[in-house]
Amino acid sequence: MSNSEPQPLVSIRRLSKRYVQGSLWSKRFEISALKNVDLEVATGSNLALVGESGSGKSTLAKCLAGFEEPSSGEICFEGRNLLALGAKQRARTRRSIQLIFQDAASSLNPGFTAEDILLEPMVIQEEGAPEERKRRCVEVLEQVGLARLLLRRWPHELSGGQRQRLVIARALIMKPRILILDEALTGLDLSIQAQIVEILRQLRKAHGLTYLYVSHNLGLMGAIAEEIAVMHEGKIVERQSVQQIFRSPQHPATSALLAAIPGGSLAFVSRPERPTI
Amino acid sequence: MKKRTIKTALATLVALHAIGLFAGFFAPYAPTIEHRDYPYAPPMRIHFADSAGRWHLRPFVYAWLPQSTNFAEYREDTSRRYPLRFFVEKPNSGLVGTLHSHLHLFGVDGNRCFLLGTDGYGRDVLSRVIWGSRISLFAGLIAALLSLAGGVLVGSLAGYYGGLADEFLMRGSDLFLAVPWLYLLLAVRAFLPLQISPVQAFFLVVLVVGMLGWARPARLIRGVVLSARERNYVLAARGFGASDFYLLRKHIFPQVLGVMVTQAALLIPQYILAEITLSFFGLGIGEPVASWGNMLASLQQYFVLTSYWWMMSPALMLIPVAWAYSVISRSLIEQPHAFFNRH
Amino acid sequence: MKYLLRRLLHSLAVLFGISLLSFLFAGMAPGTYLDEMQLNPQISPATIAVLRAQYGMDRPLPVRYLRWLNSVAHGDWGYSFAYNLPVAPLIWRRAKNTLWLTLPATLLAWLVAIPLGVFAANQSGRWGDRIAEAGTSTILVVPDLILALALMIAAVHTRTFPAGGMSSVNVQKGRIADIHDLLWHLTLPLITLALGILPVFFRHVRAGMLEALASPSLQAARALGLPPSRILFKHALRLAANPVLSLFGLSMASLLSSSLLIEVVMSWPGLGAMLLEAILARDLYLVIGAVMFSTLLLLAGNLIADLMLYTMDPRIRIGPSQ
Repeated sequence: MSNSEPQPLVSIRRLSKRYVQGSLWSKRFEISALKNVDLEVATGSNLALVGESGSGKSTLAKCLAGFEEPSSGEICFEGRNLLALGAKQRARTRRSIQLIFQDAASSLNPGFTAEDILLEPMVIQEEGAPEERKRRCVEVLEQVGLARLLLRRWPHELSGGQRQRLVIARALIMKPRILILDEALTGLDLSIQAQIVEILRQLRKAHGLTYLYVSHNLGLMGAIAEEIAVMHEGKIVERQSVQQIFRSPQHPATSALLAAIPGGSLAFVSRPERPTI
Repeated sequence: MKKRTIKTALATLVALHAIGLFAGFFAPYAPTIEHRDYPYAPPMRIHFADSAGRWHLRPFVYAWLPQSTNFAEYREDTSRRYPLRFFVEKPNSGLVGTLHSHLHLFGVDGNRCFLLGTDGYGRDVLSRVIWGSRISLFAGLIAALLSLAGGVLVGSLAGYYGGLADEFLMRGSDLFLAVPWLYLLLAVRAFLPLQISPVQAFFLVVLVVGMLGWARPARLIRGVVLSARERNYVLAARGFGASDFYLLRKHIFPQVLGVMVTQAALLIPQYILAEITLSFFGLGIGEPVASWGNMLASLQQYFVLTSYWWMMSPALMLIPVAWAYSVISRSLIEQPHAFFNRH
Repeated sequence: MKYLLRRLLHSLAVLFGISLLSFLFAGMAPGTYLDEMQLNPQISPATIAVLRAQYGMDRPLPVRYLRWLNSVAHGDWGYSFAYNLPVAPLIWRRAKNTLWLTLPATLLAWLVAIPLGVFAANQSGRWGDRIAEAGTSTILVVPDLILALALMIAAVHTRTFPAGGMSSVNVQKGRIADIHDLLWHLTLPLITLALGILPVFFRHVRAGMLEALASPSLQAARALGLPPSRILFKHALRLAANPVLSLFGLSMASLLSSSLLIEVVMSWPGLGAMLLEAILARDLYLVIGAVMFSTLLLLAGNLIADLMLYTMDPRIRIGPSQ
């Protein structure tokens, strides 16, 4: 396998994650969510991690974003193994990897205004003077196409699409290199989905961001990602370009996901001008 | 529930607590002043028309004339009217210090004034009800704050850190919830000294009632913390490098606050009743200090129960208190936005 | 079945924990019945020392606890100083009276609450509902203590019911007359207790019924044209049974607490009244016994509620589908 990039942005090696289940009184047993996963993500790539629920894709995303501690393995970001770094350095690196959750509403504290929400990362990191913070808030709001008027609003006063854009704006405040979008488009109306996809496309163009989508919806991912990695029972079983995946799936799990696309998979591939981001 | 009802309930509570706090002003007498010549005097009637049928603008009372033939029987002495006056200046005998005020809301010149009658020692029942509200209302309030403090501590420890600590604390709360509340209260009281001064008794009652009630708020708060901990916005904040303290303060505590206020509205009336019950049984705050509970205790005597209905007055005071708290707790549960909405 | 067995084991563990806790607290107690005796000049210190040894009060707390456990195993539950008798039979006699009060009161409260709740839910928002709601709300804000005192005063003044006690002093003996006498004395505490718990029951039944009536399955039944009475009593009530039965378990605690209060005020010789006497006499083992037994009653009530839920609700009986 030839490597055209000098150094991948993220490279995950032999990553495993086991959960211990059971309380003090019942029998303990282990669940392996990830089994020796290897994954490389090149700078500027647009990769989708697809699999049915329980395949381990969300666990992988959470490990990468630092929300879960892997049981073993390596996560290298820009060549440095995150798991071997000290707490301080790790926290600094972590800013470059931002995770966006599925449910935008639950990612926003209902007791915070949009402004509080955008300020929070800077407040926690204790960076920037008040004017600087404010300027950055307005800046990221513009990047996701929200009016600065919305700064005074509460989350429940925003529409679903506005909320998801606010979440993306908050992630952008930290000037990340890679955005992990964990089912970030699921549950949104089609028109709003299209809006968000367009914003993500523009952001990528402007800032050279890398995207890692996580989804169970192969059809949707086929429309927005360039490359697809299929996960099944804690392993990555197949990684191909979108065209390849749809034309000649190698693994039965991929075929099963293809079969689950409403309207049939071929409709997608045969469309002459498939929009890519 | 209508906004007006909620406001009325809040105003009732504020008024009752204010009257309790400034008992020296609102009560015509000190709680311990005995008018030995007037045991079980019935409430004085407020008249507008005198015995001759003449009307007066200012309401007045007649003095009670004890009947020598029978114990605690009185007749109105209509020979002289005693008009009710507001803001009367009267130097008080007896206790000293902050307890006392020279200015009283009302009184009559030259005579006693028992608007709610007297008890067996000739102490003014109205004054004792007012002074007793200070003890009874605040005992419930302080005890509830204690319970909530314990509940918040235990609940957030268990909910936030989970694991063994959670298991241990929750099994402990099982024990406290498994005994019927009043049995638990009495049993623990049983193992503490019985003969103590009223001040000690007040703190003892507050402590016991407060300490025994931590389990339910702790469980509720644990639930809130547990679910809050898993919220995506908490995860997101953690992703930005937030410390445990920051998360607890900014994201988790505001949610717990809502539960705490609701719990307080449920616990306070329960604890007010707990003090009253203990004092009623003779296990709480004793004589000569006035508490609604020990005032009611005299009703355990058959002749008091049958003859002196005004001794029920502290019980009647409980009804507005219970009503106000139940309105508030219900509206907190059913329409929390009416309280917590910030705009 | 496994679930019920686990509940049973849990209850036993709780009882054990309560007994441990009771002894820990008892160890802090400033005095016992024997200390009170010391104040009596007619009893010699030697006698008290003998008694102290006899009751094992001169031993350290852990030893006393083990001795107590042993006596529990023998069905004695410790020894009462004041009565000079084993605790268990004393408690059982009083607990029977408490059950005589609480069980019929619960039954009465349900018998009123269920039809009233169904009626109110069906009438939701209209006058019938509002009157029922206002009535129960009024009772709810009157504490049990006041309810008991007020009913006592009413009874005394109208001379309809005896003011407390469980039996008259001078009644003709005879089975029928005794039962009549008992019922006559029972009426007032029974009504007080039932009134005290009625509002909570009523609210639960009403809320459960409202939820059931709004459920899709009943909407469908209505659309199919089933007669309203059939929908109300057959289908809706069954749907509402679950929350209502859960409440039965939960209400046991407040039922026993209310009962204690009413027993004392109305001199009904129940478990609660005995607890108060034991406390004032510093009769340690009797206090512990009464607390243990009240816990036992509460746990038993919860288990019965679980059992009823288990038999009535197929979702719990079969368990969640995988």
